[in-house]
Amino acid sequence: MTTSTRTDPPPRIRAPSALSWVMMVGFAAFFIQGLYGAEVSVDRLIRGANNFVRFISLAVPPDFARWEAIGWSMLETLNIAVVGVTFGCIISVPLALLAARNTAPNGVVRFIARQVIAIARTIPDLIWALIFVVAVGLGPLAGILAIIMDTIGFAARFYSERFEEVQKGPSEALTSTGAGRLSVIIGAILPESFASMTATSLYSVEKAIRSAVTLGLVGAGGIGVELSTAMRLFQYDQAAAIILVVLVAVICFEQLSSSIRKRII
Amino acid sequence: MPKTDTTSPPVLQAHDIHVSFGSLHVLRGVSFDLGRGEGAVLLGANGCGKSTLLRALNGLEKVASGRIIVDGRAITGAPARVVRATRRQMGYVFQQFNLVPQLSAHQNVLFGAMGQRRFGVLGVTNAFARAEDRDRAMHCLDRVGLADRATHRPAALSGGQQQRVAIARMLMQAPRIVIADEPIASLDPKAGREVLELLWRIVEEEGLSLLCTLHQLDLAQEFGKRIIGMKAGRVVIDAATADLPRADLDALYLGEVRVDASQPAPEAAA
Repeated sequence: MTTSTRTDPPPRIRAPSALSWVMMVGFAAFFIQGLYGAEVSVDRLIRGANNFVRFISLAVPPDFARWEAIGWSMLETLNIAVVGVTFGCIISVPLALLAARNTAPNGVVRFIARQVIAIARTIPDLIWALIFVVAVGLGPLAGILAIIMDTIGFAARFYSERFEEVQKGPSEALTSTGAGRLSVIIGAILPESFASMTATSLYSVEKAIRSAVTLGLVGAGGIGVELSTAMRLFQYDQAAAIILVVLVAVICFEQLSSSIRKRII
Repeated sequence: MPKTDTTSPPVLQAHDIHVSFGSLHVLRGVSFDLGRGEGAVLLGANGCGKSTLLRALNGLEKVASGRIIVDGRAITGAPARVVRATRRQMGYVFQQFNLVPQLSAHQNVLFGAMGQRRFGVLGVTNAFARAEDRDRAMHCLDRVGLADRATHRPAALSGGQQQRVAIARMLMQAPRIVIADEPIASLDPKAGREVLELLWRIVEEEGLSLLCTLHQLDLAQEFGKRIIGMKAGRVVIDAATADLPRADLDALYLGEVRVDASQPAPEAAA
């Protein structure tokens, strides 16, 4: 290395590379096109605000007259979420074991398992619901199947990442007793991942309750069906009641799951 | 367990073992025999290949060439089934204890029998284990003086206690050979000596063969009847402790001791 006696401080700003320029210009163009495409104008914003106020005025006070129907469909939504997540998490465990670097039997199986998980994750839950409505018809079963797929995409990925983080020592100790691979996985890797898996599963339930609400909009059962009917019939006061019930249910479960999480970890 | 003839063939034989990690040649032709009931100490500086050798003996590390024979059976190039059967004969004590942190001491000890039960982990899970296994695990804990800590998790135990639980797990396995990889390196001197005394006492009482790596020359001379010294991937000393001058042991830590130091790497000409 040549040594220079002058030691200048590094420049204040580094000139961005050509690639950075292309990315920045591309992003700016895309952003402006998007804004233009949405036809944002002062006039529309004012009208929108007016409509919003009108919606609120019609929605208040919320109409709980159909509380029984709302209650039952909220229960159905919770059922869809819990049943779907339970199956989703159960299926996720073996799938995650096949997808994690330290537990997969070989590279081919690992690749396939990772692709399955990726597909389950990249297709949004609403699309899954549309597909399953076609397959099994309207109703909660389509919702459950959609939640299962959505949960697999989420939970299997986090499980497998957790498995890969598990310290090697205990597994090696069990391997050195002459135990088989599956025994080592169940004896050392699963216990070490258990707390994190529980947290992931609880979070899956939270996520599933939120998506189960929207699944009803495409006819996959639950309170979303009630909500979309009320909105379509312009019964905004009933819609407000439904939204409030959903809000309360989601908040209650989030409190419950975070208190459980605190206790395990 | 097949009872082989006990005339006097060595229980563990290593012939010209070579192990490489990529371009790094770690073990460069290691040979030694371990007799039945023999307690040997393996010495050598950090990075000389001791741990790799011990891992290779258990089949945890892939051997490039050479032969490892345990109780008359070659494990190098053997099918996985034979390697697993051989591992059952070999207890392993690690520097980092390697207990499963979420499980109780008793459950960790029960796991020692995992390789021997037909259904693996199911047969040694506390809820399903046979009553005699559960009792034996308690007995093993009792022998290391920790019967009263059976329900404690490793985190609730001191380092020395954790290593004693690991020794109980090794006892539960009922092996013929014990490999101990720096069993006291992460313990303070007092706890370390206690663990070493316990390990040696149990090995003698059970008539096991022991190969133990240590970093303390005084302890090595005190406990080991035989010392095997390694330097840069080769065995350079193999003799009865009584015949070895201290200077020979000190020499193990001088000069080029590491397997990665003698590679043409340190010429940094960037």
